[in-house]
Amino acid sequence: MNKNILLVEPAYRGKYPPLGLMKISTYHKLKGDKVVFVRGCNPKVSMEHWDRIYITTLFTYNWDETVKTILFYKGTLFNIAGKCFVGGILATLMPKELFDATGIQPIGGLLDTPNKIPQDDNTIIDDLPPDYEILKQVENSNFKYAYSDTYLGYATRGCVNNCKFCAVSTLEPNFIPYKKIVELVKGIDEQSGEKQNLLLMDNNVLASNKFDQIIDDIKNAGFAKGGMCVKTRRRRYVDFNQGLDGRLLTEEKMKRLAEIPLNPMRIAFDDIKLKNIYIKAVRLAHKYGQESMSNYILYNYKDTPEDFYERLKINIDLNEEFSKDKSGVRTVIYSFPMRYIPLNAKDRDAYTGNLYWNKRYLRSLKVILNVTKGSVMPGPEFFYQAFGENADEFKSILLMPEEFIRNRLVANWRKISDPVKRLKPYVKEWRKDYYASSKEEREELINMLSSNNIEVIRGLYETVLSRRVKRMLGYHIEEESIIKHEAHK
Amino acid sequence: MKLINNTTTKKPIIGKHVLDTLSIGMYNNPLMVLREYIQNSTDAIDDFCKTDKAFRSKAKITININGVNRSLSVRDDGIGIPAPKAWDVIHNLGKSTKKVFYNRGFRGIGRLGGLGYCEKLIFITKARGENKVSTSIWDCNKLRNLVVSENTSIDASAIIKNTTNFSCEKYSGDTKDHFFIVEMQNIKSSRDVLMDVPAVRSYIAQVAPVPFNKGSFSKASQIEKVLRTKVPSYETYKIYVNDEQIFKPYKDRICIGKSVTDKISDVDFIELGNGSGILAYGWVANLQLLGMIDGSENIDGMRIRIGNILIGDKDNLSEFFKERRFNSYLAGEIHIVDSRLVPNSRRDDFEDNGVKDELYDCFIKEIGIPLSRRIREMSDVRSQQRNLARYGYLVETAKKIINNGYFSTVQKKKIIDELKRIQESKKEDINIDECKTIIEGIAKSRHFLDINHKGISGKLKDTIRVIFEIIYQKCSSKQEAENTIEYIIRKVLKK
Repeated sequence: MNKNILLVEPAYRGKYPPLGLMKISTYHKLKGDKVVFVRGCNPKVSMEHWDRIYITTLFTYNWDETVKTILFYKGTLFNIAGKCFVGGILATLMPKELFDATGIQPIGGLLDTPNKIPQDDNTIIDDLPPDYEILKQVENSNFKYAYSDTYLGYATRGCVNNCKFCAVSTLEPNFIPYKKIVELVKGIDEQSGEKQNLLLMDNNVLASNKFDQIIDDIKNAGFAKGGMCVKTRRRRYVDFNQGLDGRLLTEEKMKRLAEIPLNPMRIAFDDIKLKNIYIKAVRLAHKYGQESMSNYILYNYKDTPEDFYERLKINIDLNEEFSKDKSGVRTVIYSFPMRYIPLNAKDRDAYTGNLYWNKRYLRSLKVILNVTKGSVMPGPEFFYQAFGENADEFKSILLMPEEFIRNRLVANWRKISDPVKRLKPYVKEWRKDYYASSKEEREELINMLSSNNIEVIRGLYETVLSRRVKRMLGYHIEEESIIKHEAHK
Repeated sequence: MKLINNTTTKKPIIGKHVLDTLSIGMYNNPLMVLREYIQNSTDAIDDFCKTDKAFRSKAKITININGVNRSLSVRDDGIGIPAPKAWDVIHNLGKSTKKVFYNRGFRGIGRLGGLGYCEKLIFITKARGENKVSTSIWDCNKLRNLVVSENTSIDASAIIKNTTNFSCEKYSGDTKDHFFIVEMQNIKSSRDVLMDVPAVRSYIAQVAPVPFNKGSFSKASQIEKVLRTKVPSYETYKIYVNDEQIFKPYKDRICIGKSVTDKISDVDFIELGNGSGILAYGWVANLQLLGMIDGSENIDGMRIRIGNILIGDKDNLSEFFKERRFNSYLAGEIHIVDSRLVPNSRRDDFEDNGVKDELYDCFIKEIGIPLSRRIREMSDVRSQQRNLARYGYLVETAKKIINNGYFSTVQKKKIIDELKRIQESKKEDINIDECKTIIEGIAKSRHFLDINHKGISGKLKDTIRVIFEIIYQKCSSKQEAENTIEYIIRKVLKK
């Protein structure tokens, strides 16, 4: 008898379509089951009878929303836990905690064997093409997935590295060097029609000993450089969106990558120690004509704000170098800072053990990055204005009141050449105090602000002896009225 | 009648079906098995503390539920069973040496509860000072198969002998260790409830003798102090489920239904006595009696406990209120004091005797009737307040209509009808004369346009009149209709 299947994605913010659920949908539709997909706790579907409910999970810091959703649908099933299947990233990283909180033993890892969920056949669900049709059931004027017109898949699985900051070794413990892209694209074409671009979520494709074959497959799937989408008549792109390992980028591999329309190319710059390797990899990409680059800059792991700044600056310097280059290849690197959050964090504020970054710094950096929706613009003028002329100035910006960071510049600042004259008066005052402060005073200021909690700062204010530090804390306490006062002038 | 005089040589046979009667047939909720094991654990801790009083603050019961290998264990660091006695205590049935009132479990059957819900039931125990640990493994599948098999020659004790495996081995840990562990392996229970950690936590919080949570319930210490003085068997135990300590769910702020909250500002203590002694002692939260406490709070209802373990469920005392639902308006506990009140085997009520009737009669007299009355009174007061507020609104609107005209005939009729109903009800707090005058006034009132917009031509006026009428009739909220009409008047028909 045909079954009623409900697929659920908790209502956290996310732009990537839930690939696991899309494959489960294909599996059940092939069996003739009725599949419904919802986001969040949907009271309407909770009034219907379901034979199975599958719930996906994503980031561990969406813990509360995820647990709430699982408990809601467990209730929908009248607490018959055996009909509820929970999988995905959070479920794989924190199975015991999730079991304790929900009473449902999660299904960890990939559905790459037929015995992870009750199946009456030997289908490997992970190898099925994703069902794009279900996305339409949740998309509306307020919510749309990115990449719903993109082939989503993998040419490899897992990673040969075992970086402590990364969840891949738990999520996909075995490195599988080859998956058939051509079949995936064909399967999606048959099921949901042609897609524009190809998004490959490989964790380390350069580590594959079948790398040449993967490039051939990508080209055969319709993604050779210059390839067009028949449906839209637009040029197609390929994106290895998890980034490429600069340590493994050889001249031969870059030559082959240049055969496909990579846009953007992403090379991870996780550690300042990889500086030379990274620069070499980027120059190699440039040599082979790669223009668009968006590189991941991991921070808040073991790095310092100073070396974070240096990594951003290296990209600015490389952009300068490429802009003067006579080859005609206009390589432009966008830095994409990625904040480290521990792999078992139940919220975004979890303690990382990194003593160089604190809550104030992290919040301030977010404020700076919000202007450009998370990435760092490639031009030097914007960069030095936003992040400071050097690491010391960068730190001084991170210590400013949030509203000062947001409202640092006077109107028409681009017409003023002196960077200091571009600043609003209260920012100048702040800088004056900051640069006049001693090493001890700065340390005290950092300590006072590190909690990023205005109530704590108010409480500590009276205990401060240095008049200068007191003044700088005062700016934090009074920031809103200072800004308002200035605006009324 | 012929007398048979050789009965002394006969030995009654305890048939095999007694085993399923005492295990899976005994309980209607698999979680009750946990109550049985916790009950045994608390007795074991009490026994140990008789010789080592200081140990009580350290004693704990830990429950671990493992979803991967589908097992559940209950471990206590109570007195344990000395190796020479272990076989007898674990394998004999209904031969508990415990005392009826001083121990929470006394029938010697509770440990069989797990038989129906797992494939392997294992008991591991050790007493202090010994270097041996005793283990008894029960093959539950085999046991159940033998019970349902057609072989009637096998009796209960033969089945136990056939399906259990006992060993006593050298203990590698500290000889000072003392414990009793029950482990259920490959669990199968209805709705998988024994694997449902939140459900287990919630059940234990409501049923087991756990402490109040002093962090979230400010009356915790006061209640605990009083109960310790008034109820000799009152005790609390540290119980952990998958590393989280469990407390009773009482807290200061509680949800009444889905949208209203109330605060437990104080508690009243109640003594239930029959004239010659105290039968039970308890407390009831001082609430505004606004409605039924939301079931998800897990605190609704007066609940009855013995040895601080719940008897039955939250509804055991509901039948002693004028309406069963009234029990859910309350939160509180009744703790049994009189030793003649003995729980039945299922622990869902007391064994039938005269004292049980006295207890319930006392409850009806002290709580069931007075609180039912109070709930009704409070409900009457609230409905009276609502009616008065409604009357006030009607009078105000009527006066506005008398002075300024009505928007729609329906509006006018509705107010007259409602005021007439109030007038006829002759409620004490309504000024009937005022009501009468207002009804007469509004009956004579004119249309808003006739009073305020005399200049508008008759045809246009009729059209606007019809528009007002339609708006008033079509809007589901009459307030919204009036607002819309007033908006039109402001924007279009400025004086």
